[in-house]
Amino acid sequence: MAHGSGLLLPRLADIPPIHRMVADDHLAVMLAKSLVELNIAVPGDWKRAECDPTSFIRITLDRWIHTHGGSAIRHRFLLSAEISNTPCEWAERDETRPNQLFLIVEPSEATCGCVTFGPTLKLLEKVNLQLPATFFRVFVGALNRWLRVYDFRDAAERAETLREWAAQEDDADQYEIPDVQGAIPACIRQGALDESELAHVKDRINDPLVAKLIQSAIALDRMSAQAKRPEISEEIGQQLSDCNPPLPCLLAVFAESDAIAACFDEEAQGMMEVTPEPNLIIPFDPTHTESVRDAFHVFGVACETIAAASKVIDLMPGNDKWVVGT
Amino acid sequence: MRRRTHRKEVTKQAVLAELESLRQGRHSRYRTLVGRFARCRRLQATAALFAAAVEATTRTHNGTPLAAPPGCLPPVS
Repeated sequence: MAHGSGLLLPRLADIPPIHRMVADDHLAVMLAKSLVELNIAVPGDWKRAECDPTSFIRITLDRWIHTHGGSAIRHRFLLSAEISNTPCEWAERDETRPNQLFLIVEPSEATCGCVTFGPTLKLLEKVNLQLPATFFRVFVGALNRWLRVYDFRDAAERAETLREWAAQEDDADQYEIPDVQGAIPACIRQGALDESELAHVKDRINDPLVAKLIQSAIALDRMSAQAKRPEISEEIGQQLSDCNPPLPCLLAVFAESDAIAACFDEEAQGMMEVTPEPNLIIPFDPTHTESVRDAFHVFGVACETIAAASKVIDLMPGNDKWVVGT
Repeated sequence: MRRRTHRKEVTKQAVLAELESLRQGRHSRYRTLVGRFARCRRLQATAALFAAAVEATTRTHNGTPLAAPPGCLPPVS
């Protein structure tokens, strides 16, 4: 470079290019340490995280989700997971428990995944009259252990509330309330098969798709039962007392734009009026490796359950349009 | 294979040692000016008091600045 005015730029070689301002990273350091000790975190990620405990935990969490079905989850669900020192965004920190953290799962956007049961139920009905109700209950029951699924029962409750509100108006007959009962297929009202009956029926299925659907639903149920959802203590319950119910992560309809979808659309307008409770809250203590191990185990089971549900939906006919990720 | 396992274990121990030094506040990160400031409540309180004092002084002396005497640099606002 040619010398021009003779002015020299100051040398910046010894000045750190990045400064991170962390007021108190004690819990993050303790959690990072526990994760390394438990072999949940990959030590090689420490450099990738530029030796920052918070980034290191983020990378570890992403890696854990990836190894527990992350790509299948993203295919059908819009979820986010984070670690926080409060159980929800607006809750105040419990100062009596300075070492408490929460692993939280909630929808990442104000929308949810969708699954259409109608074509699958018709297919199952041809094999056994009780198979559709069994499949529906196994699927929704397994997923509901970890995430909120909005189905015909929520819709029926909403329709009843709307009916009560309308009845108080002078022009009650002007209100059009979705006919939820009319949208429920008759096969869903059948009793579900118990475990031994289902095993008996399963062995006699000739249709390969039906066999795969039933096998996958049973596998989903087993996966879901591999861990118990942590109970929310009274103190945490109080912190969440001003929250709305959790946002549904999956809408289960029988046909596209049916009465269940209509009730959901109507109810969804008020779901964000007050901060909703997260779908899954796993409290843990980062200073105790046992507690961290349990929390990540529970979280892993939740992830694999959601991934298994996503794969079942992939098999269900009529659900190609509800893909939300690659 | 064994060498790879050994290398992984060495990395793990190095990361654990670094995290332990972070936990104890001995890490080099805390030896920088910003690092010390981030951990020292007294420094933070002092800075906050100083900033408040400067602001209060600005309000108190909210008059017209005098012209700098000849030969002096003008005040930087």
